[in-house]
This record gives sequence, C-alpha cells and structure tokens, in this order.
Amino acid sequence: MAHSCIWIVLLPLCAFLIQVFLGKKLPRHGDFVSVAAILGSFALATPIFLELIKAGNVSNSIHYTWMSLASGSGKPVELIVGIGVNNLTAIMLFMVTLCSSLIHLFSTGYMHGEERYHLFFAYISLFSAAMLGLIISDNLLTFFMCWEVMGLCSYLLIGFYYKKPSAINASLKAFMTTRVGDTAFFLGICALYFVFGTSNFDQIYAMVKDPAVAQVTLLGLPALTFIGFMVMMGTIGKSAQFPLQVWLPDAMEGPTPVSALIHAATMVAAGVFLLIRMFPLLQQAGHVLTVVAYVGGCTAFLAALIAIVQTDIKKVLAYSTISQLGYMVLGVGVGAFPAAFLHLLTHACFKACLFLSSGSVIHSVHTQDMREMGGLRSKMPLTFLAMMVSTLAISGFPFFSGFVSKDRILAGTLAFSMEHGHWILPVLGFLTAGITAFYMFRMMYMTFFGGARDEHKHHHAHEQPFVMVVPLLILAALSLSIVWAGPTGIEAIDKIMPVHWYDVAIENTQKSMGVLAEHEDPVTLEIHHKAHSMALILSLAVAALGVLFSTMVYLKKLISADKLKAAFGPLHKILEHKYYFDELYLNVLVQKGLLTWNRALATFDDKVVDRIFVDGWADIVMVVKTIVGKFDDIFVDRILVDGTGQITALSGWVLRIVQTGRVQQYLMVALAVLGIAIWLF
Amino acid sequence: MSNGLKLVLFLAEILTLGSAVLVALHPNVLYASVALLFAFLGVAVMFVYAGADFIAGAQVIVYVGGVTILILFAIMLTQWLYKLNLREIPGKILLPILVVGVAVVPALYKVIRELTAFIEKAPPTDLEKFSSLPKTSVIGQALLTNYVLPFEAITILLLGALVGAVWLARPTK
Amino acid sequence: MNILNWATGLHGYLFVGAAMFVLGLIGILSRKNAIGILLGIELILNAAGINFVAFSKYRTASIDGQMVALFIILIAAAEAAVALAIILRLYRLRETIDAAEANLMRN
Repeated sequence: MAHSCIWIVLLPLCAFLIQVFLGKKLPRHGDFVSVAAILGSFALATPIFLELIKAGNVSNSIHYTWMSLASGSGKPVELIVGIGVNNLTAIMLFMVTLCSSLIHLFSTGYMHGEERYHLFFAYISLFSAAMLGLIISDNLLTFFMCWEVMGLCSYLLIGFYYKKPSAINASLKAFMTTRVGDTAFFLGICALYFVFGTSNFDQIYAMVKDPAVAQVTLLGLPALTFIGFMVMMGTIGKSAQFPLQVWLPDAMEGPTPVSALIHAATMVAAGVFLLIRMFPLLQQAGHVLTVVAYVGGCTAFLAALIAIVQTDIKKVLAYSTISQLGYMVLGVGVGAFPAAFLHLLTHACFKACLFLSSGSVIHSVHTQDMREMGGLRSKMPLTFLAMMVSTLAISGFPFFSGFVSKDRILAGTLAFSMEHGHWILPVLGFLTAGITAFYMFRMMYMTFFGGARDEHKHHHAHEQPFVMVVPLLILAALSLSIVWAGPTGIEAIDKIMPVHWYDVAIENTQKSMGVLAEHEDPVTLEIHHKAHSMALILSLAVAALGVLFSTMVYLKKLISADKLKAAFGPLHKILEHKYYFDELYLNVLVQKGLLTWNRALATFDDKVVDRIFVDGWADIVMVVKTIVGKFDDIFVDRILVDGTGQITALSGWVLRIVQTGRVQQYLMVALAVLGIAIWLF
Repeated sequence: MSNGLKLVLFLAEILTLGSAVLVALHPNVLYASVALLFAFLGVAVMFVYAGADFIAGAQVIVYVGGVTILILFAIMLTQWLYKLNLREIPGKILLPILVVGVAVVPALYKVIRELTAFIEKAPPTDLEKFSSLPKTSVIGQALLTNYVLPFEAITILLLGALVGAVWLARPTK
Repeated sequence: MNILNWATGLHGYLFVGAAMFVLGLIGILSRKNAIGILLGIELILNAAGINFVAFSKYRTASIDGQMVALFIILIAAAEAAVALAIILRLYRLRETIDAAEANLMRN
C-alpha cells in the first residue's frame, strides 16, 4: 500500500515535469496531463480511503536512510525519510486528491485562453505533489520540504498574473510572511532532532511521555515547550493565524482556482494538519496548547470582524478562511483535535466550493466587487445553488457539514472552559459563529439577490460551462451533513457509509498517538455531554441571529447599512484598515526596524568588512602578485613554457624529415631495420 | 602418391610462382590482377594436395570468384587506369628488391631450414589418413564448437566491412 | 625425381609460401598504384594461408591450421572490399589512386 502511495505523489510530479518542459508544445497546452495525473492520484487514494471506512484502521509505512551525518558524540545522526499511511493520512489523501481533481477540472474552464496556461497547470501539479507528499510524510524532514515547496508554488501562483504589480507584491508578501513562520518551524525541527534524534512521528509519539525527555532544556525553556512553540509558529505562518494573517487576503490576487485549492482547501490547512500530527507533543509542551487556543480564538474572531466590511467577494472569503482556520486551531488548542480535523475536511469542501463559485461569478461578470453584482440568482442558478449550500454549511446550519464539525469544536471549547476556565475562548467561538453567518449571508444577498446594481454587467452574466459547474455541484453535495455525520436512519445510505466511520478512524488514531479519547475518562465524558447539548443550542441560536440580522440589513433593508457604518465609525475604520497590521509591519517593523538594522549592517559591511578585510586582503595580494608575477614571467614563461615550445618545434622539424606520409617508405625503413637486425645478430 | 599426381602439384606450384612474379612485377595493373587470379588457382590446387579440400573450395569461391573479380571491376570502373604504366621509374623496382633480398630472404631461409629440420625429426604418424579425410563436416563441427567465438567475430567483421564499404562507396552529392 | 619429391613435400609448400611473401612485399614496395599495393597484400595473405595449411598437415595432422587459413580468406575478402571502396572514394575525391598523392595529413 505504501508503495502505491508514493505514486500518488509521483504522478503530479511527473505531470509537473512534462508541463514545464513540453507543456507549450502539447495540444491544449497539456492541461490533460495534469488533470490525468491528479485523477490518477485520486484513483490510487480512493481504495485506501475505502479500506479505512471498511476496516476502521489502516497503517503502513516504508522508510530508508537518506543520509548519515557525523556528529560530535560519535554516533551518526541518521536522517531517515519515509512515507506512512495511517488514518489521518488516508482521509487527507482522499480529501486533497478529490478537491484537487475537481479544481483542476474547474481550472480547465476558468483559465481557458490565459497566457502561460501550461505553466499554471505545471504549478498546480507541483503543488498537488507537494501537498500529497506532505500528507504521506511520516517524518518532519520531508514534511518540511514539501511544506516549503508548497510555499514556493503559492508564491508562483499568487504572482501568476505577473504583469500586475499588486500580484507581484502580494506574492512577495505571502512568501516573506510565511518565511517568518517557516524559519521558526525549521528551528523547531532542529531542536526536535537534538532532543529526540529522530523526526519520525510515530517515534516521537512513543518518546514524548518519557520523563527523561521532559528534563531537557533549550535556551532556558523546557525543550518540549520550545519545540511546541516553534511548531505553533510554523502553523501561524502557514495557516495565516494572528499575527501573521496579513498575507492570505492579498494572496487573492492569484487566479481563483488557486485561491480555492491553495489558500482555502489544502495548503493553509497544512498548518492545522501539522498541529494535529504533533498533538501528542504539544500536549506535553507546557502551556503551548493554551496559547494555540488563544491564537486560534483571536484569529477566528478578528478575521470574521474584518470580513463584514469587505466589498471584494474574494476578500470576504479570504477572511472567512482565516476565521475558519482560527476555529480549527482553537479546536486543537482546546484538545478537541478530532473536531478540528473534521472541520478541516468539511471546510476544505465547502470553502473550495465557495471559492470556485465566486470564481464562476467573477468569470461571468468580470468584477470582484460585490457592489457591482446583485440579482445573479436567475442568471446563474446552478452556481447559486452550489454557493447557497456551501454558505449554509459554513454558517453552521443543521443538515450541512459545517454544522457537524463546528458544533464539535464549540462543544470542545465549552467543555475545555468548564474544566479549565479561560471563558473568553468559547465566547469568542460563539460570537464568531454568529458573525460568520452574518457576513456570509451579506455576501450572498449582495451577489445573488436584489436588483442588478450594474445593468451592463448583469446583462452579460451567464451560467458557466459544465466543466466548471459540475465540480461546484460535487463539492456542494459534499457539504451536506450526511457525508460527515453519524447514522442517518436511512438504511441504504448507512450501508454504504458505515456509521461513525470518522469516529472509529479517529479513535484508532488517538490510540496510536497515545492520546486519551474524551469518552474514556468518565469525568470529562459527563462535561462533554453537557457541553454538547449546550453548544448545539447556542451555536444554532447565534447562527440564526446572524442570518436574521443580515437579512434585515441587506435583503429587506430594514436597517440601513450606511447608518450602521456611521454608528460604528471608528470600529469600521479600524476594520477597513485590518487593525493596521499592514501599516504596523510595513512602516514600523520593516521601515523603522529592519531597514535601520539593514543600514547599520550595510555600514558595518562597508566600513569594516570591505575596508579592512576585503581591501586589506587586496594589498597583501598585490605584493604577493608582484613576486609571483616576476617568477612567472622569468622562470615559468621564459624557460618552461617557451622552452617546451622550442623543444617541440625542434623535434617536429627533425621528425618531419622521415614523416613523409608514404606507407611504402615506412615499410621499407622497417624492412631495412629488420635486415640490419638479422645481420647484426 | 603416384608420380603423375606429384607432377600435377609441381606444375601447380610453378603456375603459382610464375603468376606471383607477374603480380609483383608486371607494369600494367590489369595484367597483374589477371595473373593474381591464376596464382590463386595454383594455391587452391596446393591446398587440395595438403588435404584441405574445403579451404581449397573456399579459396576458389572467395578469391578467384570474389576478390579478383572485384579488383578487376574496380580497375574497369576507373577505366583510364590500365592504360597507365604506373611504375614509371625503373630504378624504383631495384631498391625494394635489394632491401627484401638483403633483409627478408635470409631470415626466411634460416627459419624454413630450421623448421623443416625440426618437423622432419618427428613427423605425424597418420599423415595419409588425414590427407584423405573429407574436411567439410570436420570444419563445420569445429566452427560451431571450438571456433565459435572467432566465427562470430568474423561474421561481425564481415557485416561491418559490408556496411562500411557500401557507405564509403556511396555516391557523393 | 628427387626434385619432384622435394617440391611436393613440406619444403615445396614452404618455398612457394616464402616466395609469394617476398614477391608480395616487392609488389607493395614498388607500386605507386593503390590497386597494385592491394594485389601485393593479397599475395602475402595467401602466402600465410599456404603456410598454415602446410603446417596443419605436416606438423600436427589436425584441422586447426586449416581453420586459421579459412579465417584468413574471410578477413582478406573483407579487407579487399573495404580497400576497394576506399580506393574508389579516393579516386572520386582526388582524381587519382596514387598512394603517394594521398598525403593530406602531411605537414
């Protein structure tokens, strides 16, 4: 199984190579290569997933030693890389290949006729390969490599419209910002090697509870806390968490399928996936999990607030992505990582659907500004249907997938607070749920309902071709709760989807990770029961409230949006400026801090390094040069070089006498020599 | 072996030597190559007498029927050649004869004398039986057993020569 | 009859072989014509063949020498084919088959 697994990664990688080198010459610029590759990966991933559903547990891995580094202690440090399939991996593989396939298909329609069409497919193929490689890595080393390749693809794809300065800036911003997190993450991996001597997940799970490990300290901190913190930093960068969330909204400069694939469904979720895989370590790492929870909660709430004031349809979705990622991080932070993982999966489906739908809309009306849309419901019924379903899902309506997963996270948060305090976390969670419903419905109302705000654009709007609509509908279907929830009561469906397949799989994962499942502890079980029913009622209430409010403002216009804006003047301004994070980073951190530091370094380089070391070196070299030059000129050139030439010329002149080029003469000479030899001896 | 048969062999040797002299010394290359044909024929007869019937056949087929004809063709194709007397300086023949006579002939004489003396001391016993044995099947078996590697090498060499010759002689643009 | 016996035995074969070898050498050395040189080479090869066949009979009474003679014939055939192809090519390129004229690599 693990061997077929490697092909899941290699297929898109091959597609990438083909596309880069041959793409332009192939018919249709080779889009079928990428699509076929990702469909092949999907076909390989499906049997693994089906086996997981059937058996409840899959596990398989292969690894080999990549290199062996000498170390001070004499025992070489072995970098062992490998791939491993387990329950999390199997589910992620299925989800990512599915989303990726659908988005590839959608792209063939969306990107049709674009300049550098073949490179677009090359990049998303490389991205798919990296994401799948990250998923099946059983160690942090290859995990980190794929993580970086994804960063590169993200950079390339955000800057895909390279003629737009804003796209270039956005791609740079994304790359630089995530780099902060990546650097920390890499330090974490190094520390991990220092402490554990391995980066294999299973080995780490086995070792974290060792009291000897807890004793190790790094920079005055317990090593586990340090590692946990660094891993969290990696997540913050990649999953655009507070305070490094600034890059994700700008990343919307890329083509919409990219936003759907990379900046909503998969890459940004990789940060959460990392947290989940490192969960046993984080549990042992002091208060890191609490910090994680606060980061997630703050991100969820603050990003949701910004989303309210956005007018660009993709920006709304971008902030909602940050907010939902915050939910997942919050879920991991409060220890409810099964809920966070489930939300990761459901979110991937409905957010991909939302983004693709928005892409469909943008493709149709040629604008991203919601103020110029409106009344598109009749023009694009299928897109509307898909987007409505996924909006209901993200808002947490019953019978839709978001309800199942979000409810679990909120219940987990509530239970956490009942046990440990930190009541601000559930408050943030529930508030965000309400705000999410509010701004999502605001978006729907502005886009699809009401009259046409721009007659011309409305007139030209039309439903998109099948290759774009079908992926939307499939993703919308996956946003229904029956796919994700437990028993439905309908026998036919229950037979295909065995009840609680997710819970069984996660429970086995928790066992293999050495993490206690909540229902195994009678005390927490009761709290969880209580929290569950409470969270259910509360989350439904806030979602309904959010929708109601949104309807009143944007559909029925009972409350004027402008008046609200005026009433919340200062807050609105802060939100429009995204809490001044960009200004803070650019003006204070970069301009005042980094540039000053940069200048100081430049001065040091110029005055000290260049003047003394470089120029001083030059003086020494000059003296040596003169001596060597004389030696070279007199001894080497005159005697050795010219002498050799003269000797060669002389011998050539001598040899030319007998070198007539006549075979017969040579033979004659040879015979003459033979004769002399005979008469002599 | 009767004297009549011996006489035939003796005549064949005379023919061979005479033709060889013509090959070496005749100024006209066309006549020289015709003489070569007769020299080959004489050698073939000598092969028969040495109990090498198959080699004699090969000699006739390959040399007389193939190589000589090929050479004649080449001369005819470059038609003007045979009219030329290509050994225009008479002194040129003397130097080779001198060198060969001084250097090679004494060496050959010495070697032949010592070799024959050595061989006649212990001649093989079944000489007559070996001579009268037909060699075709023996050679065929030897080619596919002890000599299979040289055999294969020769086939490759022939193929290479064939392709090379065709390539070399292709019409120029 | 003495000379007849001498000439039809080992001595005769070796004498004919040696004579052909010497004549071939003289042919090679004296001719300017490339085809003439080729004729000399053929003579030498045949002389070698005679020696092998003769020793095959009078020294070992086995077919090993004959096998070598067979291979010599085959190699001579290949060599003649290639040599003639080269000569024709040379003629086409240089309008001559004088071996001494093919001296492009001289100097």
